[in-house]
Order: sequence, then C-alpha cells, then structure tokens
Amino acid sequence: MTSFDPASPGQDVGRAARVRAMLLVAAMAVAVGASLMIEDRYENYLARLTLINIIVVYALNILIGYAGQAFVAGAAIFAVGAYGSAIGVMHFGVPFAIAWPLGALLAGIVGIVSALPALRLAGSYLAMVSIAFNVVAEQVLILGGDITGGPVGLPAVPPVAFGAFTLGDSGTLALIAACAVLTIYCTASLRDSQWGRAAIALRESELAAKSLGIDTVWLKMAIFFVTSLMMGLAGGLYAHSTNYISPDIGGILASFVLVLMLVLGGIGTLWGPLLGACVLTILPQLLSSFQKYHLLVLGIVLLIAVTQMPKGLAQPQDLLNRRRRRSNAGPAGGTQSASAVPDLLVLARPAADAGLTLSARNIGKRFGGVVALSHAAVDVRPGMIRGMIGPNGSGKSTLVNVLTGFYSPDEGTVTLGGRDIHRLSTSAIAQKGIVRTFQTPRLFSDLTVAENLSAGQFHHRPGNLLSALLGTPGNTGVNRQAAAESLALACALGLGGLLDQRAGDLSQGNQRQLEIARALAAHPAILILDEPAAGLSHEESMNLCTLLENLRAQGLGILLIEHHMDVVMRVCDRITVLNRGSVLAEGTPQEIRANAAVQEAYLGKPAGAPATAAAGEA
Amino acid sequence: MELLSVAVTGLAVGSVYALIALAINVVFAARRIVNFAQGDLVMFAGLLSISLITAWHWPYFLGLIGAAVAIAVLAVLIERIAIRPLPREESSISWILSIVAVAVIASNAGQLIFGAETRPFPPLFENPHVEIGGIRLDPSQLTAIGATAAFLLLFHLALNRTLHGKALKAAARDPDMAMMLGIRVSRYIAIAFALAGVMATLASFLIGPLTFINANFGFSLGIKGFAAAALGGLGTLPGAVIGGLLLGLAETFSSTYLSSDLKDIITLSILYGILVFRPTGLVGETNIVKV
Repeated sequence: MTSFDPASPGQDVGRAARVRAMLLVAAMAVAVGASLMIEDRYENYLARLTLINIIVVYALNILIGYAGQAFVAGAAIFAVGAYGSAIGVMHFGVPFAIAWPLGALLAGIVGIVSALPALRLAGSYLAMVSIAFNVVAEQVLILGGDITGGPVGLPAVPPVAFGAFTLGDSGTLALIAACAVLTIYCTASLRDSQWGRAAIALRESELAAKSLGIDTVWLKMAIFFVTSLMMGLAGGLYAHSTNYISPDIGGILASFVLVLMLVLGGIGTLWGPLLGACVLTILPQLLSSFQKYHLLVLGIVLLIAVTQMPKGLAQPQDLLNRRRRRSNAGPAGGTQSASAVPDLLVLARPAADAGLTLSARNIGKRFGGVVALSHAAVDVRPGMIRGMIGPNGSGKSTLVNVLTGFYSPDEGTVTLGGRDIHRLSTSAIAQKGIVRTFQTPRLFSDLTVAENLSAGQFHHRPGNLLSALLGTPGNTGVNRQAAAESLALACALGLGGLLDQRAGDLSQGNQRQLEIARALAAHPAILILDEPAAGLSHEESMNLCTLLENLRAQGLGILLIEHHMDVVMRVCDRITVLNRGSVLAEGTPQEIRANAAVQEAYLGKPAGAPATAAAGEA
Repeated sequence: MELLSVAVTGLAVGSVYALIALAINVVFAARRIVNFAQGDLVMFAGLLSISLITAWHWPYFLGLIGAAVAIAVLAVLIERIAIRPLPREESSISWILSIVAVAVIASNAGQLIFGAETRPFPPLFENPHVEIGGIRLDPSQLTAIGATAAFLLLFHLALNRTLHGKALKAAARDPDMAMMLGIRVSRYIAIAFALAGVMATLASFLIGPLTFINANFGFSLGIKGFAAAALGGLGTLPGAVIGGLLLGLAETFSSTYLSSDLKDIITLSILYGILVFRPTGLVGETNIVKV
C-alpha cells in the first residue's frame, strides 16, 4: 500500500501477487514435507487434531475477532460439516471428494440460518442465540436415530479417499496441513482487503458502517457463510481422519474450548489463533492425568485471559507488527500538504448520480409522548450549503437521523432526486448518495487512517470476496485503487502525514477531519455534517470552511448542522432554523441574522430595547 | 381435566423460569450483560440449601436464608472478579467469554464440592397432592406459582416506590447521568447481582420439589432463563413474566403431548422464530438505535 506508484501499477501488482503465491506454495511444501516425516501414530494423531483446530479457530477469528460477531457455536458448525460428510459417504455412498465439500456447504448454510435472528441486532443477542442454537444442534445429533447414530455417534467413518486411492495417516495429515496453511494465508489476505476492512468496520461501529453504505446484513451473511464453510471443511477432515464422530464434537463445551483457544492466543491477531490452538490442543493431551480438573482449569484460564489479558498471548507479536508497519510508512509520511486541492477532483461522484436534490417535507417524529419533530422541512440542492441551526433539543439531530434512515418518520416524506427514500435502510440511503458524519465521531478506531478511508469506499469498491480470500492480483489492484483514493482524500483534509496512524489515537480535530474524509470516500451526492467544527481550533474551522466551499464548487450538496455562527454565516447559502421540532425561519444568512423570532429563540425575549443583529454571535 | 393439570404444571415451571429471567433482566438492566450463569447460581443455591438442611440439620427456612445470603455474596464476588474489570461497551464480546468461564467453573466446582449425583430437595409438604374442586394438584406447584407472583409484586413495588429502587432504575437507564446525580452506580450494580443471588435461592427452593438438582443442571436452566428473558424482551419486568410462563407452558405441553426428548428443541425453536421476527422480544422496546 505504501509503495504506490501510479506509473506502473499493473506490473507492480503482478509481481506482488507472484511473490505471495510463491510464499504460499513454499509454506505448503514445508508443511506437507514435515507431516510426511511424522511416523509415530500418536504424534500423527496429535498433529492432525492440532491442525484441524487451527483451521476452526482461524475461521472463528475472522468471525469473532475481525467482524466482531459474538458467535459462540463454532463446534456445532464444525459438527455439521463432520456429520454431513460422514453421512454422505456412509448412508448415501457419495465419494469423499464430493461429500466433503457438500458437508461444508451444508455447514455454511446452517451458519447463516443460525445467525438470522441476530442479523438485525448485535452483541449479546447473537451470543445467546448461538448458545441456544448449539444446544439444539447437539440435541438433534443425539436424537438423530440411525442417521446420526444417536448418542453413540458414527463409528467406522471411511478414511479420506480420492477415487480408488485411499490416503494413509501420513497422506491425510499432509492434506490437513496444506488446508491449515491455506486457511492462515486466506486470513492474512482477507485482513488486507476491502472485505477485511469492512468486517473490522462492522466490529468497530456498525452504525458508522451503515452510514457509509455498507450493507451490513449482506456483509454479515457473507462472513458467516465463508467462515462456516471453513469450519465445515475442517469438520469433514476430522470425521474421515479420526474415523469416529459423536455428538460431543458439536457440544457447547467443545465450542467454549474453541473460543478459549481464540481468546488465549489473541483475538483479532494473525498469529494468536495458531498459538492458542497449539497450546490448548497439545497441553490437555499431555496432562491427561488431570482429566477431573480439566474443565475447571480451562474455565479459570479463560476467566484470567478475558479479564487480565484481553489481547491474549500474541500481544507482543502484534505490537511488533505495528511498529514495523509504522517504520516503513514510506512516501506517505509527512510530505503531503493540505493544499493538494486538485486531488479533490477524485471525489466527484459519477455524473449520473450527481445533481440530486434532497428534500424533506412535513416530517413528524414522536418518541412516546415527546414530539421531537412536527412539520419539519428542509431541502438541499447540489452545489449548495444549507445551514441548520437551532437551540439544543430543537430536533436537528433527530431530523438528520430521519434523513439518513436511522429513524423512520411518523409523517412526511423524504425524497432524493424526486424519489421517495424514507422507507429505505440507512445503508441503501447512503448508497443512493446521502452520507453523514456524527456529532461524536464514530471512527473505526482500531483501523489506521488509510484503512478508515478505504473502508469508506467499500460500497462502491468492494472487490470480490473470493479474490480477497485468495489474494489474487485483482484484489491487489482494488487495494491499490482504494489506497490511492485514500491518499488523495487524506491529503485534501490535511491528514496526509497520518495515514498509518491508528484512528483512535488521533486528536479530536483530526478525528473530525477523518470522519469528513471517510464520508467523502463513500462518494456522496449530499453530505450531512453534524457539528463538524465542534472542538476545532479557529484555524481548523477556517480550513473547514475552505474545504466546504471547494466541495460546493464541485457540485456537492451539503447540510451543515453547526453551533459556530462564524462558520455558518460564512459558508451557508441558505439557513434553516429549527425550534421545538418545527421550522422557525428559513432564508439567507442575512435574513436569518435580522429575524426577530430567531433572536428570541436564541437569546430570549428582548427586555424592552429592540434587539440588534447580535443573534449571529450566539 | 388433564389439560388443566398440565397447564398448572406448565405455569409452575414457567414461574420459576420467570424468576430466573427476572434475575437476568435485573443484571442486564444494571450492567448490559446477560448473566446466563444465573442457572448455576440456582444450582449452587439448591445444593447448598439441601446440604444445610439435610446434612447440617438446620431448620428449613434458616437453611434457605443462609443459602440466600451465601449465594448473594457469591454473585457479588462474581461481579467483582469476572465483570467489573471488563470494558463497559455493549458490543464487546469479552463479557460473554467471562460469563462462560464463570459458568464452566461453577458447574465443575459444584461437582467437586457437592458431588455429581442428583439429589432431591427436602419436601415442604407431607402430602404430595391436594384436591381443589375435584382436581388433584401438587401443592409444590401451587407454591411456585403463588410465591413467584408475590415476589414479583414485591419487587415491582420496591422498584417503583422506594428511593433505592428508583436509584437502581436510574443507574440502569443512564449510568453517566446517575453518577453525576451522586448515585454510586457501581454499588447498584453490585446490588443487582446480590438481588440475582437472592432470586436464585428462591428459584431453587421453588424448582427443587418439581425436579431434581445436580451440578450439571445449572447450564440448561440458565439457557432457559435467557430464552424466557429474550422471548419477553430483555430488561423488562413484564417480559420476564410473559416469557417465563410461555416457555414453561410450551415445554410442559410439548413434553406431555409430543415427546420429552423434543422439549428443548421445541422451546428453543420458538425463541429462534420470535427473535427472527421481533428481535427485541414480545414486549421489548422496538426503537433501540441510539445515535
């Protein structure tokens, strides 16, 4: 990303992809070679178990660590893959080479279905629903009669075989090792792709992700499907390499152990899952004399891991990575100035979408008995800055939430370019071109500035999920384009020297600028800024004014909610004043300045003497 | 008449679920976490009171009170050790893992302390059946229904009519604001956990005669409690009651008329179905987005 060279991107991309492919092949060769050297049967068994756990924990890492989905039922999904493949071979006579992927596909579908109730809500619900789902799944396996073998399970699952050729212990181990290497590679590749950044955006702030046009429901479904597929593949490998499966492998306890591997190793890190899976697969085997206290100890370890070392064992590794990334920040560092205005041309939305007018009429919104808005109206035309002011509690933020689909209005209509949008979801509205910022910035704190800006481009530059997983040249190309636009945006907002900073570490002023830049990354036709100047220095405020004027010159429509009257009066073409949920006044800055009703709302009733045009300084 | 006695059984079981759901809701309101280790608290409370009453020969109700105090202290300790060190963000998944850890530790510690065997609760009534209007009913079931109803009423009054109750509500609604008003939020979180401990003891006393208690039943009870709370709507008092009763009825009817093997699958599928269409539960608030 840092060695961006616009002159020869194609050549560069090709070379990077070749290097990566060679590394992958080399790692696979080493893994396969090493597994063929293990002769001891028990060691072979232990290695298979460890590698299978590695695959599952990496998949969970994408789901829980990157995407932030608190899905606990990993073992149940794993079991679906295991049983699916085993039943396919044993009851239906399907060859392994077909039953294995089919079982994984089934796991993928079950993964999506199990997550359905939680697609609209996050956090606690998903965790609990997934636990309930796991209980049900285990029961189904136990009650499955002849098909699942009941409580006993399925003994004598046929070994891994392709056609007439049956892989022995060593061959099976080699296959599993290759799959594990591929899984780690895919995770690394995904992490540095638009899909990976969108997944982390989902974790960091689902609201902000939606406001940037990321269709979070689809994104979640895609992530659930892919990770469940991976777990299902691991399950199939387990069934046919261990030759025996029972409902225990899909039990809630097994799920907890998988999550513990992830947490202990380091959730959301690249190498943590490897560490966690190895330690927690091998150690209990070596300490099998402590069987009685096994779970008690696991519980205590999990408790300590969660409360005392939230980053897991891999934390030092992670710190190292970050330092390395910073030290070779390269050309992005410091050399760019805030005057790179020509780059703003990048921001222009494709002509077909530009030039849309946002218009809200007769909006009413109540919360219980409280009337937040009644007959509120506002319109924003392209190439215009509309100011919206009003005392605290006058309904400004509620109106913004209605315009952007966070609330649905009780009355009235919102149209964009003449089309009704008030029934659309937040992400659909953002895709149509209305993008907002928040009163308190909602950045993707754990991503860098550059990654925040790339995540902002996700809805119009997603790339392809499969190529993101495989790290194809196409994916690298998308990354380059996204990085180029991020660089231009960062420079335009004066963040050019901060590209590799973690967004959460930025100053207040820089956070606001980054949020505006990220909104622009989503290619808005209408930009809604909720108090962008709050907490900015005077100089920063004046830079903001210049930026807004530049954006207006490019045909962007801007709705500016702001308390700083110097900013409002300088840049706005027209101003809407809200008071108690309805429009108190509307007009040019001069008209608003002279309006007696506005002065009264802001300063109270003038005591005898007629008020002068002081309202502007309120 | 069989229908009626099945319904009473369902309501009795449902009352206990409602009690567990209420405890989950109280903790959820105070700290925005789902304490599904609540079932393990019930298990501990049950086994402890059985030991106090039968092995230590404490008087029946003294044994219950002793257990209630001990479990309340245990719940506060859990909050101190497993919950307080965690960040207060709702989206964070660390609390789930932390509570999973507590649940795993609790059920295994329970097994080490009390043994794995199933134990009956000492019966409160000599006579296993009473006849009311020609219908034979189990007095333990009637006790479960009556005691739960009385407790819910008491809880409702305490929450809305006393200063501490109002402070608890304030701390739940807006912890930052409550803190600025001088309410010690962390103390009320601890109080919520202590309350959960007391409710766990009451629940164990009521469910004990209806079923058996062993160290492993805490987990599934916790899941049922969560299912009841989520069914009604997390964090609400009427939600806990509606969800608990509904779950108890569904479970009893399906195990009577279909198969007792299927009851968990059926009840949890109902939960799933309702959460797909109404994610915030039957009586939960619908508008939950905070921008």
